[in-house]
Amino acid sequence: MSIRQANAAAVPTAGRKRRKAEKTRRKLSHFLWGAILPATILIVWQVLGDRELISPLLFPTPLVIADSFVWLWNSGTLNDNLFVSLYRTFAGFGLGAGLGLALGLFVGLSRSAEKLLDSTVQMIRMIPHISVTFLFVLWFGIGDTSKILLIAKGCFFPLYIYSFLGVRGVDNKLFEVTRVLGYSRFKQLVRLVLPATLPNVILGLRLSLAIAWVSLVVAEMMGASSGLGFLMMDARAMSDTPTVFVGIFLFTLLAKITDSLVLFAERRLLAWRDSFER
Amino acid sequence: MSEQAQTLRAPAVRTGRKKNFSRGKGTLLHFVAAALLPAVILIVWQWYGATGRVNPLLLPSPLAIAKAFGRLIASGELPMQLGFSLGRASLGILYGAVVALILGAAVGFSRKIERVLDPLMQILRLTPSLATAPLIILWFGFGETSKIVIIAFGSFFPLYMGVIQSIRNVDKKLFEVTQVLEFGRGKQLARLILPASLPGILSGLRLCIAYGWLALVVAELLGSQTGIGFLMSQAQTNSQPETVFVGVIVFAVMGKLIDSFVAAIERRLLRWRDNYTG
Repeated sequence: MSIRQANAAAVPTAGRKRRKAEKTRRKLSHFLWGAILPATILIVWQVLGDRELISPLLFPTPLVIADSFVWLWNSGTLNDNLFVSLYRTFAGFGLGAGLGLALGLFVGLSRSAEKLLDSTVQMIRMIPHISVTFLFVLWFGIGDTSKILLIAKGCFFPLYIYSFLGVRGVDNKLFEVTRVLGYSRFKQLVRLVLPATLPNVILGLRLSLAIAWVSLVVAEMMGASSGLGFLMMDARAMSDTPTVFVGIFLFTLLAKITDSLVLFAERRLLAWRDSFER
Repeated sequence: MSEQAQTLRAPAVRTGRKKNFSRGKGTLLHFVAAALLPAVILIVWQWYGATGRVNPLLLPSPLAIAKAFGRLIASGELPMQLGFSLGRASLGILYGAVVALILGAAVGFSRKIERVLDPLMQILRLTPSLATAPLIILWFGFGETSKIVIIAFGSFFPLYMGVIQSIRNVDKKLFEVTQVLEFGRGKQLARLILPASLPGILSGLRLCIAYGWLALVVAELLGSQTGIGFLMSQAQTNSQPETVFVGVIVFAVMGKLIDSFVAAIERRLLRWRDNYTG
């Protein structure tokens, strides 16, 4: 790290500037290459739609979809449902991920807890979590509770497994060092186990978030009276295809944003690691 | 996505089991400890249900579920619906896997195709695949086609990513060796790339099947006239929670069986690898 910093300081500013320009150019060329296909598809789609060669009911043109997005946004329908969905996702994610992390660490640290709990958890994990949607709706109604709990259930397992694996992956020699240094159990946890488990936990977080969005979609499509998924199902029933597209677009955007946030946090939190490439 | 974690977890379980084979008593003890919690839960659940303190409409007792299971098997309804579900899932997964293999191989082999095609694929990959279900139903109707497309779309991406990554991870030095030995393109493919990328492709296939199974659950729950999901949604409207439970259990057991089957094939095909790693 310090060597790299020294190097960076030694490089004359002109050279650095040129290298930066080179990098931007390469990035731009990559972007342009990548944009060819989506742009072509969008243009062909729009042209075909305008000439009425494809059914506007099945394939509304991109402009119509954009219009519908603006309309939904201005009418406030979108905001309301979006906030409901966001609230459900984050409440469910917080609950499930928190419990998963806590239980994963606990089972990782204690062998007897592993023997008692792990196989039960693994057994429950085998149930495709979408298939219990009906039961959750039956038990907890069609309100927020059933969605939050379903999302929590989905988010629980990746974090449980990865924090468990993370604790078990800590170098035993380091554990011995903490014992020699007379660390208390708590200090051991905070100073050794948590930092060493962090990379795995972050991986678990990313998987959890992806699952959270999928669970939200499914839970809201199966039985709900508000939320983005409900908006989409409702639009489908009304054959309002542009709104369905808007919903898909928003889900993609939300998944991308949350994933990028975790990646950003990873870069900040794991900068101390030697092997970690920026 | 939790299936991804499972592939990581599998080796640990296997070695643990192997170790325990030498100590039969340890295995038994471990089994008893592991079975303790599920057994206690089942007994308390049954006892509570028998005293009538829980509403059997919300939580039928384990015995009632077992009875419903027996009834569904005896009437031949469960095997029939399971047959429909399995046929649908295998067709959808087949389509998804074949397209993923072809596109993944094209992108893996050619940088040019990667630059044009891959950015679009990465955008599509971020879309929660189940969010596109309403759109697919709109396009293909409520019939069999839409279900198969939902399953194919859900199972596509894990294999696509796996194929690209495993082709790109083939050791460069080995490529150079084949160049020195003047292998033709076909021989290079058959003798180096295929064997070297097989492990990655197979674990991609495993994820692909797991995702396809999950997509099947959603596709059938969203509206279908046959299959286990139909059995469940019908039971829900008729207030027969035992049948919903039976459906959940069948989905879980079938998912596990299929996964173990693919894992066994994986082990068999990759037996030669053990010789290298020792």
